[in-house]
Amino acid sequence: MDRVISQRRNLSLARLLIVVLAALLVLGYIYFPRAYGAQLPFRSLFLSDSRTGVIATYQLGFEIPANETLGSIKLQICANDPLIGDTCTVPQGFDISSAILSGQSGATGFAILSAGTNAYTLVLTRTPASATTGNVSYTLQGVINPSNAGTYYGRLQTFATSDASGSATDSGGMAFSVHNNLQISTTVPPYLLFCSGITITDDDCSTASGAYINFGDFSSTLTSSVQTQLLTATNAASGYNLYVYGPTMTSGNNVINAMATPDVSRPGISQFGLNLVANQTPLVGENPSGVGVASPASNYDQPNFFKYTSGDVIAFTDHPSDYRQFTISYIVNVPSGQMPGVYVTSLTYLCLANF
Amino acid sequence: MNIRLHRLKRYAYAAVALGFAATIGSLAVLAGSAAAANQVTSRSIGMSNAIPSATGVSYKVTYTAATTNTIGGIVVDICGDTPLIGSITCTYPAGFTWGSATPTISPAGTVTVNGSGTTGWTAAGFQGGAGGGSYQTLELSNATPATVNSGNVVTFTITTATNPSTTNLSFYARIVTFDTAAHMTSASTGYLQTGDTTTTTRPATFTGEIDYGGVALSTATQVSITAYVMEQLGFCDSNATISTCGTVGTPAITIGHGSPQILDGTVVDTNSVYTMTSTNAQHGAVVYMKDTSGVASGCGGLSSNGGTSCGIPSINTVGTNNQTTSYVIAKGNTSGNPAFGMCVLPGSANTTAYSPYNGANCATSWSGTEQYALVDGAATNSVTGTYGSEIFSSTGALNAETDSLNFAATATNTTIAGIYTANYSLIATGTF
Repeated sequence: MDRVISQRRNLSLARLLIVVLAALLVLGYIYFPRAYGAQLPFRSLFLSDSRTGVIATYQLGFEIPANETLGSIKLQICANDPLIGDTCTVPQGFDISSAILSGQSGATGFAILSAGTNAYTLVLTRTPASATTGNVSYTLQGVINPSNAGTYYGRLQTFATSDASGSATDSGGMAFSVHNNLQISTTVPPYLLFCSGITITDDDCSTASGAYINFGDFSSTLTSSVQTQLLTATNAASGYNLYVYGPTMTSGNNVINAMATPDVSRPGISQFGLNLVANQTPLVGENPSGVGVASPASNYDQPNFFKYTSGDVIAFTDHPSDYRQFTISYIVNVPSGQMPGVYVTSLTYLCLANF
Repeated sequence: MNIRLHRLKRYAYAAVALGFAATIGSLAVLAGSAAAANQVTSRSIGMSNAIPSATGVSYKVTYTAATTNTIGGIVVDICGDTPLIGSITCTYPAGFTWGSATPTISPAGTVTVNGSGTTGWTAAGFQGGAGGGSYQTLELSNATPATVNSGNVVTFTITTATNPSTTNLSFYARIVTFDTAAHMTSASTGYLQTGDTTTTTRPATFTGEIDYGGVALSTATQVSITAYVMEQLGFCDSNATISTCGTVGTPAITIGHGSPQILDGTVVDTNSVYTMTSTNAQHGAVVYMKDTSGVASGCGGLSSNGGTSCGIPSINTVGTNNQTTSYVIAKGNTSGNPAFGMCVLPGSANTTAYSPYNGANCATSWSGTEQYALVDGAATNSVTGTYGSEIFSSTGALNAETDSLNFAATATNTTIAGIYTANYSLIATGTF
């Protein structure tokens, strides 16, 4: 009886092993290979653009492992797996049916076989011919990427026939990824730097000092001159215009004439004018300085010629301009009969950037 | 009893057909004679190969002794009909042989008893019913009998066997131990008596028998099992470190400082994009970065007009930001040039940054020594080329490999105000 019980225990173990193996087979954990040829080595699918839904160029590459008759190449793109013979889940949005074969190397002479091509399958065909071991490459333009991000698979087969019929000579799987674009952004804020003073140093508006300047006593035989400074900079795409506003110098009803047209300094003649360059007569002013590209406007850019009309553009640039320092030279001439008095004016400078 | 034996054969046959060469032991066996003899337990013969006609197969015999006694002879007789000791026939399973008249024991001359080797054993093969050149019966002899206690595990291995030639064949081994080699080999009272050495007949009784036991074995068709590992390539990018690709959002970063973030020439601002690559591609993966601004020529760098022009151009060996000796980006207000570049900081030695993205001191922040670059224009490996610019690669498979793409940018006082953008497609390609 003991011997019989022992036998039954061993038989139960055998039954259990059989059941486990059968379950593994049913669940697919043990895969029995299909009757395909060698695996294609060095196979890759190179996308020119991995964004979802865009039109891209696909470069298919692989190595022919041994000399063979090659008549067709079949590429199928699936969303589920690269297993040849398995049901192919068509990638949503993917479309290779309008692809153009724009390049080929290695085994050449291929064209797209429309009869075997659909949205997710492409067949390249040629008259069957010998293909030698080595790398081959095929460039396909006009492929529409899948519309959803994720990993997709290529199933690749080579055939001796010209229409991908019969048993495949070689085969292999590939995988590629489609995903969102990388976006990089940065903001360069607009700015306009502008300040005025009797003096400004080191391209630094915080050093600007003084807003009042005194000509002293006017003389009919000697030109009176003073200078102030402006500092400007902007990254406005179209640069800026620098305006001057204000009346000429007056004392009550007595006026020193503004120089409506550029003219040289003429002592004894009623003149009030300015320019933005270095002058010799009188000796006043400096040329613009700094790395900026703005320059004095015409009528205010000639040495020894002065002008003043309220509302004139006295300096400008059409481009962004780094720090640019202007020195404004003012002259006053009065005739001998100029009525006595305290002559004053207030000038307003306006810098208008064009972003 | 006959019914039980038939059922046993059927189940054993099914088990070994699935590739299990292990023995189904504990068969019901009737003792042949010798009232003092006992049945060994836990007996088995492990075959190194169950393929029919396989040669050089190792048969590892194991059993637990049932009787305390010295043992000078051990018989292992291979039969096609029954494992029953005492049965007067032992048919020959076609194709089987112990290998020669002197089968090889491994280790040489050794039978292991309870873990310790006993030496001095010699193996002899006998033709039995096999015909010339094949050997059905094995006899191990030792002039100095070894002490074996009840419960001792006895083990020895013969390495020269050839399996029976029939597929999915159940066959049997009869194990009999003797107190002395002389009793075992006696032509009148031993295991193979006169005439038995060249036939399938066997004696019903023996003298000097200590223990016995039957074992079933089987040949089996070779089962080819292939596990298909699918080609895999997983790739994702994010503006934050990645723990798994399934949780990342749209990869978008802003380069700047302050709040709101701006770019100017007072500093070099940085920000990073992180990638995760997993692939089983045998020949590795390559990641390319391509300008996808949508403008045919593309500018490669940061543009405020959709790529028509690069207000903040890339740092490269050509163009505005020509850096022939160094890709170090200086503050825009210092160098007078706006600049934009990237370096790759590999997460491990599994990935290698491609030149010029492999500049020295690549880090996620700027301190003035880091080198950045971005190849654009008509240069080889340009981000504006058809397939973009190769930025890093591996030579083999990658498992959740994380790399950081560190971008740096600076402006100048004359960099036109605006929102600058660059759009890149990161393209991962595996070579399987």
